[in-house]
Amino acid sequence: MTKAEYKPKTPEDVSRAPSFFRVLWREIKSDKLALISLILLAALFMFVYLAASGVTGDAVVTVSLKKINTPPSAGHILGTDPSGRDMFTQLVVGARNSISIAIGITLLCGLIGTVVGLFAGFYGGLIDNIVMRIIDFFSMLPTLMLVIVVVSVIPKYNVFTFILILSAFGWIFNARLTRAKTLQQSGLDYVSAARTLGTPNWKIMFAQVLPNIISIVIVNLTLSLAGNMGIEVGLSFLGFGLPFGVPSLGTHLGYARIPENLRLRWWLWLPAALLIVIMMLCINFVGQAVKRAADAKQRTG
Amino acid sequence: MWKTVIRRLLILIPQLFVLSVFIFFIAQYMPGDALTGRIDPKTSPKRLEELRQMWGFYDPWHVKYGRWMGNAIKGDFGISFAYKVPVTQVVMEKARNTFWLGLLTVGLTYLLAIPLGVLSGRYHDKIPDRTITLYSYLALAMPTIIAGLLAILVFSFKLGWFPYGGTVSAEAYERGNIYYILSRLHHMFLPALTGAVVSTSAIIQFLRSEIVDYEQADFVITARSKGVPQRVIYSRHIFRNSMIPVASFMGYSISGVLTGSIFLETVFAYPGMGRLFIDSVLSRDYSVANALIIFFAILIVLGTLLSDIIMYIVDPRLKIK
Repeated sequence: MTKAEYKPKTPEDVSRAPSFFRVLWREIKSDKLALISLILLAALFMFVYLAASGVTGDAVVTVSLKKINTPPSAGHILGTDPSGRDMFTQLVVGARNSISIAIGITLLCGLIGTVVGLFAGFYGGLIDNIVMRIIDFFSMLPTLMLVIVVVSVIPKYNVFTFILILSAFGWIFNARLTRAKTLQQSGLDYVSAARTLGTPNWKIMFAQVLPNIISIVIVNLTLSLAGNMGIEVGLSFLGFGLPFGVPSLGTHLGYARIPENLRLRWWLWLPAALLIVIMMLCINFVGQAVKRAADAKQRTG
Repeated sequence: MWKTVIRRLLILIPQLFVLSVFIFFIAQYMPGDALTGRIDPKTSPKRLEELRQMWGFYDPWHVKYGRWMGNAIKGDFGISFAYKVPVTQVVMEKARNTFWLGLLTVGLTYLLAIPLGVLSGRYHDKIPDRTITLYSYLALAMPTIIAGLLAILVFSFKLGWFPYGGTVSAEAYERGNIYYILSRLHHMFLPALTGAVVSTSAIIQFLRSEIVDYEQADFVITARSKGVPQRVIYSRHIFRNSMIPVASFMGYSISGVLTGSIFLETVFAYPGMGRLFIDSVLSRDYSVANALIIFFAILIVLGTLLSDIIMYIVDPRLKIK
């Protein structure tokens, strides 16, 4: 970390705290591992969404019966799957689905959790009591099992319903966190002052309390992105993920449930496995930097 | 404290009630009914109708729920379609396997995590700590499934050190006693180690930050200024205090192990409750699936309660609520 040149500060500089994103950027720049992870993730996302956006359903259903389970070759750099489809295109589409689902769940859980948490923490009393009982109830549930049962019962669903099902069980943690932080904030002077001035409640909540706790919410969401990806992968692996025929990184891992594939046909599942581990590592490294940026005591940059 | 424990257990009753209504309704949407498991497939449709009438297939939902719940309280969850024996019997048989695997997993987790966490905190920001932190990041990023697949590929298929699938080899089963136990352990070791490796990182990082924090604590500075040797400061003053919260992880490990068992047992083809659950959902054996969900929910609540009680025992300054 290079020491910044000393510059005399004008009153404007002093009175304005740097925004969270500026702090975050400084933190990531000072942490080489986080910087590399961020670049890697950005490159991967760009490749999957933009460069490979031409790879869609057509390529996925191009089947060649002569080439079933062939090992990697010049024509198919990651070989072909048990139906004779090119594994590389499958991997790209699978990664795109998995990433979209993970981001979808994270955003939806973030939205629900933050709003519920803000209301419970800000109003307190009866609302808080009811919300907390609901949260207590949800947090003792064997969530994974319920998701599996719900998915197996619903006759027809698509990517969007799948995100909804997972979010229905996933918003709890964020709600609990937001509620605790809001409760802390609503005891502070600036909230009392705003109340005295007659600022409407929604404005205090969303324009004053929320900006003060948003950094903690962002930390939580970044770290939970990896977890959500893991849940989707796990469910797809078990066969309770996306509808049949929609590739995801988890369905690729699912090939390895057959011992012959696991032992002899590494190209069916190993690339997906490596991709998942690399993505999760990168998300965690970036998440750690975000976490440090949100807590002034831990900052390095 | 006992008052709190009893209150927590009493709260469990309404919670289980809501959960049971919820899964009862989901079960209504599953195809098939409880008769499918009980009767001879050759029964004539007319007789089938009569039996359905007799066993109350057409009763309104609250009557059905009441009957199901009444029996469930007595420990009777009906008959499994897939196994044709009482659900309780099927579940209990697999519960034993999950229990032993879970015990070994938790044991190995602490056996790995405590020394690593202590080393990492003791030599923080030095080479041992860097290495351990790298390991714990990797363990955190590694889903159980992938760790399991790699472990099977390397240790079972390539090296042949551990068997794949099952709980005991047929040969050892016949020879009995000590061979039986050894074979059981041999079959459980790889899944348990995999489960342990992926769950160590939380404990390692927690222990590390506890130890680093205590270095600046007043009582440590006092001890240091009195001239207490560094070794004694760590073993007597710091480690003991930082182990307190780690003890409470023990109860949470129960829910971790249970949830993890669904993936772990499926990957390793180990016949426990997690695998039974997946199989019973796939074969629409909902009486087994429901019983397992209720059982897991009870165990998760008891695990959390156990954590709090352990916390209280090791550190009476804390109040549990």
